Amino acid sequence: VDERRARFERIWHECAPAVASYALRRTMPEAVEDAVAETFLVAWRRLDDVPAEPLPWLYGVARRTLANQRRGQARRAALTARLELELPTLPPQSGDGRVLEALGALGARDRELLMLVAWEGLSPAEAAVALGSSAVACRVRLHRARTRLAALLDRAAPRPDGTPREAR
Amino acid sequence: MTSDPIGRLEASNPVPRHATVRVGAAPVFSARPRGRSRRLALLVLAIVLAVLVGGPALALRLGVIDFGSAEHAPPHVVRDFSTLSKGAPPGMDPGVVAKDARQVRIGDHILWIAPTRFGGLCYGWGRGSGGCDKLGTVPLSVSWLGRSLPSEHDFYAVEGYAHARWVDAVEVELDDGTRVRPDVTWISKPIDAGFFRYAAPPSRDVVSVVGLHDGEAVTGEDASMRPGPHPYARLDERRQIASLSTANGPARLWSAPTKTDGRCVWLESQGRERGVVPCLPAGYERQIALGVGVYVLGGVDVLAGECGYRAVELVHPDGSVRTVECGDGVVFARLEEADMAGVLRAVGADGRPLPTSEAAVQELVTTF
Repeated sequence: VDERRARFERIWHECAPAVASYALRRTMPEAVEDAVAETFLVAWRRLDDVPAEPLPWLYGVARRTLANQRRGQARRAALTARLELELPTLPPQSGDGRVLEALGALGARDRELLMLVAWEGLSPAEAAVALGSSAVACRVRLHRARTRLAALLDRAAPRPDGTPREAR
Repeated sequence: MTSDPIGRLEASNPVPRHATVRVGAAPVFSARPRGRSRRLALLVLAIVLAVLVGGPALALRLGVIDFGSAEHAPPHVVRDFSTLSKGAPPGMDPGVVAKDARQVRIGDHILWIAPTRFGGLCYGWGRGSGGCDKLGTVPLSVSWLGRSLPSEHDFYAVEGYAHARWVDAVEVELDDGTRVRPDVTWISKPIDAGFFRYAAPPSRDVVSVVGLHDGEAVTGEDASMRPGPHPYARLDERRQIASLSTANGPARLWSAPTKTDGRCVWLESQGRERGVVPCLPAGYERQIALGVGVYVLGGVDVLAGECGYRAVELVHPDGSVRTVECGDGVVFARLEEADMAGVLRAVGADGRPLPTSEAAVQELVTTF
């Protein structure tokens, strides 16, 4: 039991900040704590299944946890002490609106894959773990998603006169 | 073509990688890893006729554990329950009465349960999962246990509870169509719920769990988590709560009670329907949440969805702001060109906008 606890604590300290950031990129700050708690509850419960490189696996769990939150299923707090999480203060509006708009126009799976690579810094093989697919399929999908995103960005790019190329 | 879309995406990271999230000590879950020798609890199982201990919904059940007579939960569990309220954000405190926590043994598993001040329950299985239904209005709550994660298909087991007010039996459906009724351990008021665990045979998966009342399906969850616009709703009691004119006829927002006193809200246009607010148990309709979409219906952009905030603001490119009030947990409005070019954000009860809720309106456009 002590070994399990020690391993869990290692995973917590190494990965909890990244998992919290992952959640913060995808949901509202007030939902982050529950998402992190649920994610690590699963990790604790399935500690034997957590791979040696746990972060992509944890992202996969967090993805499902957030999907469940969005689906409005019974929103339950994990049976745990309140987590001590101190989230960064973010600027009110950050990022390139056109890029985020183009990202939003992609399919959910393409969008998640691109975010895992660009925002979480995962390799395609690691993203495959988070998405539950094979590394080969993930590379192919990443190539296509990148192409689609580039096409959307081109369409959204302003003409020399400053007007958008494509009106909605 | 844009040569480095990933680079541009990296530069738009809403939480830059260098942003620091500080975490405290690892949480202590009340789970005990499998294999730990467990002290055999002395359980006082009061097998009594339900008419003596339960309400009408329990009356037909022969075996019910009397909550008041059950063994008290050990101190560490009481402590865990009590921490649920400490530091909880407004509205998130389940109000658990930790000192009343009890433990019961269900098969090889230990279950800890405690009532809440609001008529609900908090629970935790010895092996880890748990949760709270603050109001006691969740008719069926299911935890899905997958063979691998992330998983949306291979759920080998389910565990959860059904509220006795609405449900008298639970039925599990497997991927080969087999239907099984797992044993349900009912616990008397103030818990008033039955707890179950079911593991599918090897090579079989669980695809749905249904709560029955007198043989009628009144609530349920399925593995796909895509329940449709109004599962288990009483459609004969539906009412139109708003409508907008479009080139293809009216777009109507409907509401109907569920068979378990909850509520579904959905959008209808040209005979097609789409759930825009989750079907929620009674009392949870106005929880703090913002889940909206923009639907293009007959040439009209329609904002619809779940809004537990006071209002949403549409901030136009020129800086002007349009406020759309949320009512009864729902937001529904026709969007104009300036709205579509701007961003949307929630407005809290104090009238102040929540900057971190901002999203480009274009980003919210969803297929109907």
